[in-house]
Amino acid sequence: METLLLEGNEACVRGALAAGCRFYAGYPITPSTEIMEMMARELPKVGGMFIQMEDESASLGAVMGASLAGLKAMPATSGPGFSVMQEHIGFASMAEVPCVIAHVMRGGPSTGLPTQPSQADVMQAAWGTHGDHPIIVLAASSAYETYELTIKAFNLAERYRTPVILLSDAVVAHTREAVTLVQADMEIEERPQPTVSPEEFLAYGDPGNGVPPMPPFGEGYRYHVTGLCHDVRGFPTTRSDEVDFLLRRLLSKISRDSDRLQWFDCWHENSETMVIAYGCVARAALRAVREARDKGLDVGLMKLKVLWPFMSTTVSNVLENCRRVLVPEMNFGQVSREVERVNQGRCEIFTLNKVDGTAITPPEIVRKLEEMHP
Amino acid sequence: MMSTESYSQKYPRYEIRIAGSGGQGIVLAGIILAEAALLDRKYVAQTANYGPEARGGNSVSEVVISDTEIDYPSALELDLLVALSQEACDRNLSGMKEGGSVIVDSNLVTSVPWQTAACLPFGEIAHKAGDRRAINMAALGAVASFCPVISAESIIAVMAKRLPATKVEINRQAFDEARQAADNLRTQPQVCQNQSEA
Amino acid sequence: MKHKEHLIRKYLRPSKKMPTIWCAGCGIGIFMHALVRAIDRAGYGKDDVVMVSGSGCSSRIPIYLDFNTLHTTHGRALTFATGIKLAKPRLKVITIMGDGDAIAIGGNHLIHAAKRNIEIAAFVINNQVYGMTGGQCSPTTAHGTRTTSSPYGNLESAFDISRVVEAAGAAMVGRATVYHTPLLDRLIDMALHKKGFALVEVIAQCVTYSGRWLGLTSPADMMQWQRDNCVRVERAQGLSEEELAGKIVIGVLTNRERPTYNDEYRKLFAEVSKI
Repeated sequence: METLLLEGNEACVRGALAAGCRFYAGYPITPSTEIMEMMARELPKVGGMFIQMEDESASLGAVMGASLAGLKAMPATSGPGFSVMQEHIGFASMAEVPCVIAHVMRGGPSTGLPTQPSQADVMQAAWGTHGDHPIIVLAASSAYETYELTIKAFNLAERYRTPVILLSDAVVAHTREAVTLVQADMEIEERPQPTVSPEEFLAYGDPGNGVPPMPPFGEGYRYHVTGLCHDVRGFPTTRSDEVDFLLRRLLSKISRDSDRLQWFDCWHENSETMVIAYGCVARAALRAVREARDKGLDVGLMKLKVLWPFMSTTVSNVLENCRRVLVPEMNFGQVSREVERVNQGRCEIFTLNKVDGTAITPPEIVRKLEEMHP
Repeated sequence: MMSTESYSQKYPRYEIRIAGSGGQGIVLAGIILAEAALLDRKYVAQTANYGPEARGGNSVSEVVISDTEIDYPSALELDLLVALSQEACDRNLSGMKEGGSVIVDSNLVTSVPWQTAACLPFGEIAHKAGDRRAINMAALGAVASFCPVISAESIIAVMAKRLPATKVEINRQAFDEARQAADNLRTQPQVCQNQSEA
Repeated sequence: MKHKEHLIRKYLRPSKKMPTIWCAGCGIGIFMHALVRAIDRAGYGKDDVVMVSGSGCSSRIPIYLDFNTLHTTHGRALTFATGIKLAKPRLKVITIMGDGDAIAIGGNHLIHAAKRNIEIAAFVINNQVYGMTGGQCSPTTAHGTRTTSSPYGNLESAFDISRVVEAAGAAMVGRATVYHTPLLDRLIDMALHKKGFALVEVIAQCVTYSGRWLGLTSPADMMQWQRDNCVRVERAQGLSEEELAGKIVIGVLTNRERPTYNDEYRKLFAEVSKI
C-alpha cells in the first residue's frame, strides 16, 4: 500500500480517482483550485475527461451531463463558487443525478477571506438551494479523511442517486500529511441498473428502497429527465398525488437509511463534558481534550464526519451520558443549533465561535473548557 | 491513574516554521522537510499560509514532526524558526518555545532579539552556488544542522526528487555549504553579529 | 400524409398526453416537425440521440420526443450537453433553447460552447419574447417595443444571436424562419452533420405575445411578416446598411472547419499515454 505526503486537496483527487471518478468540470477558486489542477493532470492518464468551464454553474451542469451519460463525476469549489452552484445542486437533487461536490470552505460572506479557513457554509450545504430536498454532507478533518470520505461520498452519491457534498476548509485542504491509499480495502459502489425491459422501466418509480435504477443515456432506456416535478416516468406533472409521492420519496430515500450514515469518532466518550467538533476544529479539539485531561478535567470528544442528515440519534446518545457540551465552530453557531435541537434541555450547551479568519487553536478550547468547569 | 507527565511531555512534537516573503520558495522548503520526515518514518504535518500575492507578501510554512500521530497540525510552540525577511522574523518570534532556535538570513534580517540565533548569508551562499533562488535550500542546510529529528540524507533524497533535474546540483551545493556553515556555528558557539539586545 | 403518420408513430412518445402545451399557431411546432424530419433523414438510432433543453416554451420539445431527453435549468442546457458529449462522444447531442434562455441567462454558456467548438447541434427558437412567463421583453426584442416589462417601449436594442455565436467561434451558424421551411430543413441537416458547434437560429412567431406587441394578431399575419422582412444572405451582401435596416438576414451565415474539444482531447489522450 502506497503512503504519500498529500494535502487535503490532493487527497480528494486521489480518493475520487480511486472511487472511479472519470469526469471533472471546474472553475478556479481559492482554496479549492489544487483539486482542479490535479484533475487536469491526472484524469487524461486514466482515460477520464477534464474540462475547465466558464463558471461554477456550468461546472455542475457539465458534471450532471457526464453523470447522466454514465460517468462518475465531480466539481470542486469554494466560497462564492458554491453559491453559484446552488441552482444546479437543486437540479441534481430533483432529477436524482449522482455527483460529488467538494466544497473547501473559506471566509465569507461574499468574497470574504479567500485564503483563510471558515466553517460558515454548513447550513448553506444543506439549504442553499431552494425547496425541500435531500442532501448528504460529509466533513473531513485531515488529508487521510478527505481521501476516505471522497471515496465514501461517491459511494453514497451512486447508492442514493443524490448530490453529496464533501466539506473541507482551507486548513484541511492545504495541510500535507501522510496518506496511505487503502482503496483496495474499500468497497466501491456502482449505481443500480434496471432489471426490467425498457418498456417496463419506470425512470422515477420506487423499486422498494426509494432509489430508482439509473441506466446511462444511450443504452436503450430512453427516458425523460427534468427539474420540474415529475411522475414515475419522469414527465412533468402538477397532479398533487404525483408531486407528493415524488417529494416524499426523495426525502425518505436517505432518511430511511440514516442508520448507515452514522460516521463519527469518539475519544473518552463517557466524560462529564463532551466537545462536539468537525473539520479542522476537531483536530484542535482533540489536542485540547488531551491537554485539558492533563489538567484534571473530565473531557471527551465527538468528531462528526457526517453533518447532514444530522446524526440526531447518535448525538442524542452522547448527550445522554454527559452534563456539558462544547461546540467550537468557525462560524456563529451552525452545528451547535442542531445539537441544541437534539439536546432538548438535557445538557448545558456551550459554544465557541471564531470568525476572524484564523483557525480555532487548542489553547482557546482549553480556556473555554476551564471556564465551563466552575 | 493520572500520569505526572503531561500529554505533550509524553508525546513530544518538533515544530519548525519557515517564514519569508512570497517567491522565496518557503512552501516548497516546508514540503521537502515534511517529505524527508516521512522518509525518516516520522509522523508529520505540513501547513502553509500566504497572502493573495503570487510574489511578495508574507509566506509561512510549518512542519510538525512527531513519533506519534499528530492531532493538531499547526505549530503550538516553535522549536525552530527560519526567517528570511525582517518582517518574518519580527512577526514570528512570539511563537517560539523557550530554548528554541532561530535561523535567519544575515543580509535580510538585521535584528534578531533571541538568545540562540544563527545568522547565515543564505542568499549569498545560494548565489555563489549558482542561483540566488536556491536560498530556500540553503536555509534547509541550516535546518538539517539544527533539527535533530530529520536526517540530512532524507532531505537530500527528497530534494533530488522534488526539484527540476537541472537545478538539483546547484541546490545541493547551496544546501551543503549552508549546512557546513551552520555546523561550524553550532560547534563553536558565537553570538550572532546582528543580534540586538533581547 | 403517410410519411407524417410514420414520423408521429416513430418519434412521438406514446405515453405523452397530447395536445402540447403550445398555443394554437405557435411557431415551435413547425420547428419540431422540421427537426424530426431531419433526424429521420439522418437515420440516427433513437438511442443514440440526446436532446437537451433549457427552460421556456421551446424547451418543452424534448418531452414529446422519444429520445434520451433532458430538460434542464433556464439557460444552462449547453453545460449539460457539454458533459454528455465529452462523456459519451458517440451520442448525437442536440440542444434546444429559447432566445432569453440562450443569450440572456445562458449567454455565457452559449459563447463558451461556441468557443470550445463542442460538437453540439444547437437550436435557438427566437420568438423575441419571454412567452412562458407572460410576454416580457427579451434580449432579442426590438428597440421601442412595448411589452409587459417594457410598458413604455424597450430601451435596449436587440441582440443578433447568430452574429454573437459566429464571433465566438462556432463552426456553423445559420438562420431561418419557420416560414422558410426548405431553408430551415437545409440548415437543420447541416447542423446535425456538422463536426463542431453548430447553431441554427430559428425565427418563430409567438402569436399570444410578440404578435400582439407587433400589432399582428393571427399566425398567418406573423408568417407573412417573416416572409416580407427576411433577406437571403447571398442577396444581403449586395445591400447597403440602410437597405438592410429592419431586415432579418437568413441563410448559412458561417460554415468552417475547426478542431472540436473532443478532437483536441483525443490528441491529449495520445500524448499523455506516451508519457
